[in-house]
Amino acid sequence: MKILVTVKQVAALDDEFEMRDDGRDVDEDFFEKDLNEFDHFSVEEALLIKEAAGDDTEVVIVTIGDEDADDALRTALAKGADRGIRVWDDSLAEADGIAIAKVLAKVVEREKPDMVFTGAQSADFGSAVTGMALAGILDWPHAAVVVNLEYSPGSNTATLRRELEGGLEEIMTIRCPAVLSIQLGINEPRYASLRGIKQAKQKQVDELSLDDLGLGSDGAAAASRVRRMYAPEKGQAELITGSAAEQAARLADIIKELRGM
Amino acid sequence: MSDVARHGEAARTKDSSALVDRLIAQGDPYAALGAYTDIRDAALEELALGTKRQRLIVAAAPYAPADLLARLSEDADAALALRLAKNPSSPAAALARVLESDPSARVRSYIAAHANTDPTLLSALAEDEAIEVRRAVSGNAATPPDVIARLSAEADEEIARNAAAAPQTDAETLLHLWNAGDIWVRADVAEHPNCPPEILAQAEAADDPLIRRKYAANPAVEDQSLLPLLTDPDERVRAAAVRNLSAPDDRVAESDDPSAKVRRLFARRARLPEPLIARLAADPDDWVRRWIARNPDAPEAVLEDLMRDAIPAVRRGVSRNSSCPPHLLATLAADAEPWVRAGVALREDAPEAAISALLDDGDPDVLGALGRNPATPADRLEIISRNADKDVRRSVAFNPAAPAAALATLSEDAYPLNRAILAGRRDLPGDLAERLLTDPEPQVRFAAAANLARAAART
Repeated sequence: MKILVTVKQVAALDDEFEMRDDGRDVDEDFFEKDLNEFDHFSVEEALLIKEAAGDDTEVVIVTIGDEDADDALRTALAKGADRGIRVWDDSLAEADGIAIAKVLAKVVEREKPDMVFTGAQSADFGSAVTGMALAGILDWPHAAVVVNLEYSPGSNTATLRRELEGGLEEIMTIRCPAVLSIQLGINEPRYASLRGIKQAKQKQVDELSLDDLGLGSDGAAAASRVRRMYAPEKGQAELITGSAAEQAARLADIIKELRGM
Repeated sequence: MSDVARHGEAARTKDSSALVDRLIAQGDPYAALGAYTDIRDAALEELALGTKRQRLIVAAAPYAPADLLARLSEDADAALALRLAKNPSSPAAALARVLESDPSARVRSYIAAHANTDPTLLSALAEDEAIEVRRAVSGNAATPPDVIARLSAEADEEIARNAAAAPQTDAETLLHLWNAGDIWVRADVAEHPNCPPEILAQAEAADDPLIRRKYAANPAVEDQSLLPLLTDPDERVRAAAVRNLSAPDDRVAESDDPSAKVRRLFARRARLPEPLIARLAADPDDWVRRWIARNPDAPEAVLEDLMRDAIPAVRRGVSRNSSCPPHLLATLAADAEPWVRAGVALREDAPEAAISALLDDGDPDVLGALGRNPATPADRLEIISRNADKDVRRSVAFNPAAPAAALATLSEDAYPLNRAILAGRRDLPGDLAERLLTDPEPQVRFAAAANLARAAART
């Protein structure tokens, strides 16, 4: 029994930052990197299933990124995952969610897991596309924004609850193997113990290239390209003071100005 | 780590140079930054500021030593200058140097608002071409009164408001602001301790309740003038007067304000006459009773009544009252509500029997309170330091009487914040500081290195 959990090292911006010279991303001097918040929950969900089932269940963490991404991978391993896989090729530097999903699909074909968990989205780009694109490429059953999961390793189905718009939720049964994107709050993620952090340094991490996965550099081509990234100009704010009548008069003036009256 | 190995580690950091050597070998910029607070060493500085990312982090860090911020100001590009101008720890010299580099109006505004900016510079910035810079100067508590006076001549609402609220503004400027300002400016003038008597007289009799409220909040107004305001038709004016009374003595004994908000404020005041305390203790508003329950002037008989109040928060108030006698604490230790028992568990002066009665309590609030209490037996603190709840465990890190074994347990706590708080203890044993120097969390390594540096600098 194997659960594959995909994780991402995300960027957290400083409150003051500068853009790169090419204007297509933030200068990396102005952000910190960390494990995606959503992935803490998907890793925890896999570990809870493993702990409930016993040692026969293996939790494998996979990430796509350069050497810096090892930190995110080791963070997940320190919590109790069994081994890791890191895939990298310089041609992935500008990969979008679709390209990442193509690579992950090859990893899934190689690992043949019984279940795949992803975070519902990444905290930096927030596209929420990778998990569902992966399911599409694999042609696997899938469910997004999962907030509750009942699943026993080896079972052919899982029962889950997922969030919908407007405060609705739905309960569904899904065939396994499946790809599930996990929402924040599904569980309470653990903190890695100091012993776990030390042990994580010794755990097996396979470093794979696109060639190792049978993908050429163009086998994981991005479906989109960032042309420009920028901070939009902020609207003006004004503190309206005075008596209630004065405040109402000023508010009316502002509305007239904005509507061009 | 074995005792021999640990002893060897300690030997490596027992004096400043040994500690510096170890930190340089470790190559950790966060530990270097922590140690730099007490050991000014060029190699540590180089390590702490080794990369552009590190320089940006240090420039923005309020915990960074002032010397290091001054060093960064010597060669600051625009990104560093902005961070230094915003950093509340930047010393005057660093701010002056940033200003010499002809920064943007935004950076000049931060410097103009900075508490450490030299008054001479503030005087110069008061002439700045950008209105936002002059506004920031007018709101700076370090701006000299003559500069505030000069700025107040400008017809700018924000400057007028800042000037009227600035504690250093003189009476002459306040008079000008009263005559020229809008209602909000006049209100701030009425509240100002330097407000001239002729304006105070006008404010006291003002039709607008906002002006009367601000007058009632003026710390220079004496009780004799505040007492008539206790019958003002506006409850906010009465509330401000209650807050501002220096001695609510027998002259307020008969007070029975119709507003619960005002009665709550009375209930919080010290030196209340006993009849008023008794009346407030029976108030229908439970927030009034809560405040009386916490009032150290409440007599024992009142506390005994409130100890049986139906509202748990009122009983909790009694348990937190510094005048609560031991026998009442003993009774409250058996309260059905955990939050009340936790109030007793926090008390260092609780009778031994009360603490003993709580030791087997399973509630996290009670255990967390016992964890903070220096009167809790050491063996119990060790048990609490191993509790499943991370917040309960953390309470022991705050306890000045925590035994070494509990601190050692916390040094391996899985929750990083618990280790960070432990690393910040000034009485942290050296061997634990050594252990935390290699912690995965930068914040912990920073605090551990600062701890070791402080000790090494003393030797």
